[in-house]
Amino acid sequence: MPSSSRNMLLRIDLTRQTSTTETIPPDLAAYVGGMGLGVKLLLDEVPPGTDALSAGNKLIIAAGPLTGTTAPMFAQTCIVCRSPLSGTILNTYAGGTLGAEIKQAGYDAVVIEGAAAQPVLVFVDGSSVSFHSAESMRGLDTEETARAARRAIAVPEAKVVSIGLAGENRVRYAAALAEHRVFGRGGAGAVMGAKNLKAIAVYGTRPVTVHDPKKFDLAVQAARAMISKELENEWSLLGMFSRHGTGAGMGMVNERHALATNNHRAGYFEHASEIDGLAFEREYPTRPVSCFACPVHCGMLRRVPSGALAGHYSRGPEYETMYSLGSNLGLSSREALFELNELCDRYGLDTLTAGAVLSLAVEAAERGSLKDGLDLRFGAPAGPLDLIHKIARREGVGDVLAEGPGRAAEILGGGALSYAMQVKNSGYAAWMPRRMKGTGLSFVTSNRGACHKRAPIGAEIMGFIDGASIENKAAIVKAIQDKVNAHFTLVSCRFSEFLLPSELCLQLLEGATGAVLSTTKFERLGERIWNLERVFNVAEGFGRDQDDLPAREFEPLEGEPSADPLLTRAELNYMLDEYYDLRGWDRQGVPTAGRLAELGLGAYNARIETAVK
Amino acid sequence: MNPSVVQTNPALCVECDLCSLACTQAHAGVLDAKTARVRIFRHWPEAPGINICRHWQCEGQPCIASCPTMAIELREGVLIIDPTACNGCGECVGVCPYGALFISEDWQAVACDLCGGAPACIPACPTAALFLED
Repeated sequence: MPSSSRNMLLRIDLTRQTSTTETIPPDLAAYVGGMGLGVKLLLDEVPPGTDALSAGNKLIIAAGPLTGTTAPMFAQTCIVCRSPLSGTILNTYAGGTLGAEIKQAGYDAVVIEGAAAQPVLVFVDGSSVSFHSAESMRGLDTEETARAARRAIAVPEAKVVSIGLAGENRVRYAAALAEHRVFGRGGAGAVMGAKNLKAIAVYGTRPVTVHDPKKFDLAVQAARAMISKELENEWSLLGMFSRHGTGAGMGMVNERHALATNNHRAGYFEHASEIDGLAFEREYPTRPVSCFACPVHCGMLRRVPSGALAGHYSRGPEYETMYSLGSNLGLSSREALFELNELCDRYGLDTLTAGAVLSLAVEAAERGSLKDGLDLRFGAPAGPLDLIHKIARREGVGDVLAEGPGRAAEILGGGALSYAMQVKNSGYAAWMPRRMKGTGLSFVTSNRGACHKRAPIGAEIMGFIDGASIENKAAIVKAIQDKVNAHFTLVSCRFSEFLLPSELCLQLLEGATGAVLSTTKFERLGERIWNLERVFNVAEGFGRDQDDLPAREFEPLEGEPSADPLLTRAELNYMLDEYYDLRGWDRQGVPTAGRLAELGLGAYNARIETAVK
Repeated sequence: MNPSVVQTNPALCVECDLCSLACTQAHAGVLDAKTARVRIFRHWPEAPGINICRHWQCEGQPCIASCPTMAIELREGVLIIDPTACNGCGECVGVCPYGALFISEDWQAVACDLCGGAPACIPACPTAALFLED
């Protein structure tokens, strides 16, 4: 029976340099794919207490059942592993073409185990797996590594996942790059580095077939029609992203005084219009580029026209980076922002956590807690530019900052933890809990730390719901977490959740694979996965104490008429209590045995009990 | 009958490969950009190449002359490759100035045949980088 799922896992053992394939067993197939498959596998195969940077951690690179098909907005690939940054379970995403290539090579997912003794390049093609020395690639940046990898295997069209120096040096927020798209959050690049895995190249020649072409095509046409309609709307988020990239909305966020500025001290940046998507578009030759089979084309490929970086080009910076390496450092220089973004991509660093660390460093320097002879001031690019190199090389204070904002703040001392903008050591995404309280609740309850992927950001920033209110936020956040988790089994783009209803996603799934799933069951699956992640985290010692925001959130914003704080601890606690109750967890944030049993996860209660006792 | 021809505007191309996927879906019932008769070649940061047969503007049509088995002919405005005559030697691929002939997995030269007059790639393209011209 044709299906766009391969029903096949590839396991790669880096220690022995061997590989095996296995049919996906039914209990794993019930998690559909992508994030669901990855989370279930990691929980079952990586025992509690496994060091994220040890050979025992596993790196699961998973496509979804719709990846590689013409279903629009399903091009992303998911990596699941234990995060060396947060210590939690991690799921991290990159768009582009990697997932489609993995499917063409004949797999739904690749599980990487063990660790190599020397740097290694792994080449996966449709019929075999080969291991190549990457000794000569030591120290190369992500792009040079990708080129060297394609040369080493003599397949110029291979898709490559690579790490740069930051990953080799196990910077805890090191990213893995795939064809200029980034697995940014959580340090998957450091996990690769710890495994001595410099790069993975994938090339496949197996056509993808769908189960029922007529049914599938009808669903695709319906999705394309919805997307087209949305793109025609100049003021829809997707329409703006398609025309101007994700950086289009910075002005709107700034108007609402919700643009984090100078390490979240202020919510308004007077130079926002110099670094937003429209400014880049005006000054830099720009053309949109798509992920695989996606008609939205929100990626913006930009070239620097003049100056010291003339001729450099980059797919980016994206909106979140315009905040983290722009407004939050008080930088009004497009060129500096472009260079910081490019350095992060080349070294292989998450621009969000890197930005959180840099803004922490600048403020700590201003307060005298950090002395490294650097010119660290808000609005001055030289210090951050120097620091990025030091972090990737783990030189001097860079070695401290490479540990992540929370850990670094603890080492720096002097109360730095109160203004380290992080949750569970993971740097903030571009949003201000003080302005968007539901998003604040999402930050603290996210299973991977300060994350924007499962938060009511669109609704709160566009004003569809009141960002300042705490009422009903627990239910809103829970619903979006469960829904997005379900969609990430497919693996959808985060932006598809704005638009494509679960029913339509399931029609695509049925047409592509023949699998029939009700919407209720599908979103219930999202909740099951959410609980599995929480089980993993609770077993690693996480609970209510870690579901917290830095003290800065409870301070007033600078430059605003009101001197009162916009968010209080009591409000956060109110939302958290309500959230835990709705989840069926106890008030310490631990899933109850009864709730796990209801979700069909009774077997996982033992993992919690061992840890809590 | 002289059917329309497929024109390209690479400056509008966003490299999504939807044209290639529609092509193989129409010709072989599968999704496989690597075996399509219209292919996108990335040249970052420049605009990509969109390789597709454009015999109507092709001087001398060297593929026809190059074929040792005379498998290629132009019939009613469509490049036709006779599968029983083609031996997959690849001569035509080498001489095509548009890089628009390909050897398939079963050793056949293939090129755009305009899907019998309604090319599947045209409606698939989200940016009108491919369009029909009379």
